Amino acid sequence: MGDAERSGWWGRFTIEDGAILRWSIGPLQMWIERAGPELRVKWSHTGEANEAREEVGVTEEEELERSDWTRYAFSESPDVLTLIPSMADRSMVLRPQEPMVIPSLERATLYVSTPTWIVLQGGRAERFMAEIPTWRPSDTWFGNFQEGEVCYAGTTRGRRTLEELLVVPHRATTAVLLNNASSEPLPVERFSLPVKSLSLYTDAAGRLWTNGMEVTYATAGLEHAEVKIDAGAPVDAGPGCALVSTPREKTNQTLMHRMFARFWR
Amino acid sequence: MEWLNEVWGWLMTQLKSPGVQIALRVVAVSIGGLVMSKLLSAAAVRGARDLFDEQQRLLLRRAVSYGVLILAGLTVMRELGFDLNVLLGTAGILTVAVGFASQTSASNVISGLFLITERPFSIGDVIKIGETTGVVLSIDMISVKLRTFDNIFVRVPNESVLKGQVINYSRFPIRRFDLMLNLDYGEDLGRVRAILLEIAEKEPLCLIDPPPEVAFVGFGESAMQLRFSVWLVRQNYVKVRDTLPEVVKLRFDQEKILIPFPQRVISVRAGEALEVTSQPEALEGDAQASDEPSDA
Repeated sequence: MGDAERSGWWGRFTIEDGAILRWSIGPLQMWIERAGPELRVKWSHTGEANEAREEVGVTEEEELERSDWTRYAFSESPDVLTLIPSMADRSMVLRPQEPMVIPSLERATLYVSTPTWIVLQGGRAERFMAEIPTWRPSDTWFGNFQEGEVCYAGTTRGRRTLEELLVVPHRATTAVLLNNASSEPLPVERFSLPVKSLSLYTDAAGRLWTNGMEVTYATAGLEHAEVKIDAGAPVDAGPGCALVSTPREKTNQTLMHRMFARFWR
Repeated sequence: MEWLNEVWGWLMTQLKSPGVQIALRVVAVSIGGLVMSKLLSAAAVRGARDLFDEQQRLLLRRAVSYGVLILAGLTVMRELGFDLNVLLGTAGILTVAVGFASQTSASNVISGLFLITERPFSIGDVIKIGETTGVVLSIDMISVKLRTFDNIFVRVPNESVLKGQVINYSRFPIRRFDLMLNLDYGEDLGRVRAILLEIAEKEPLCLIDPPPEVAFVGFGESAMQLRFSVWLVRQNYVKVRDTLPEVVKLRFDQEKILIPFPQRVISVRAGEALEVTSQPEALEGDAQASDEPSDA
């Protein structure tokens, strides 16, 4: 424990043989035990989606159920464990605090936060073991009855100012600049955020951020919008940001994404 | 070495004879036809890769391959001295005869062509034809082959697929699951509705959009009837169908919400005495009688 390469709940952890490390990250409870050449992992979601817990430590819990552990076998005893936060594996559907309309040729920034996933890597060679969501959001459908995309439903709402946004250790903040370049007002009731294309950064205080993005809505009535992902750490995060993980999906800086859908309403 | 020359000379004269020449030509055309049918059908499929799906490509391959083989066959017959006009005339009569005989097969083949162009389902879809539900294994010229969920092979003739109703469960990406509920007349509908919607919200596989729905169906004889509908990604349908009723039942038990048994309210008009008698002996006797094995 106490490696310099980590801040907060993620990074590299050393684990003694026979010890159990316990993480409480927001709603996630995770235990990892080292038993000789094996790492055993158990996790569950207790608490609410926006729980603000952040604890890491060696635990001596005797009453842990021994049944639902997943065992990972290594050729050499894995004394090092790496946790890397990453973005969700599907797009997130989010809503503003209240439905709003962006007038023609106007732009507005929304701040949103989305739960992160944890990539577990074992041993000094950092072998990929598993991916665990800090919170399992509900499924939702973005599209119409015949075609669309399965997404996760965001549990928090987008805010107009950064101060209003709830800061919890397991969620990453994204600044979305909505730019209505069309000749019609753009109603923003809900929108889909392509989180798979975002990198994760951490600021000096250990808070998680993603790249900012600019969404340009050019043609009224269209579901797709042009999404431009900013390069590098977000300006709002201040100086001293460090890259935590790269995007799941390598995409161009600019992509067309089904951003707005107006069905079943 | 004298004999070798003799054999050579004999072979040369034999080769010049018309019979052997015809035989050689027949062999050449046959081999050429076989090779050409393989090459051309493969080329046609490659050329049409982007235009057609797997099933249509298979059909194209067969059409080209059989077409070339028939042409080769006709050429061989001409080489052998058959008069093709007579043959074609005979073929006409034969076609009528065979047509009558193979009416069912022909109708299945035509139906198969319609199925392939209309494409109501494709390989791997879960469909229901008549009483049979299963995964489509193949769509062939004469029949559609299904594998049912209890792993039984079912062959359905194309004609009956075309004539009857086909339900394709795999066509659209999301599905609705309906749970019918009966509620006691004493329950607060608003409270039950709120509880059901909360269950749907907490179950991660139930989609948030389209939203779950609690619809009032009607006042039944002994209960109020509700329909609790949740939307699911197709792949999760069976899982939620099996787990959601259990979750609802557990929650209803916790909340002391009753799912009533059928009940009758009997009202007696004033002034008319209702005589109630009980006959314990007779009931016991009946019970005993019914306990006895029927074949005794």
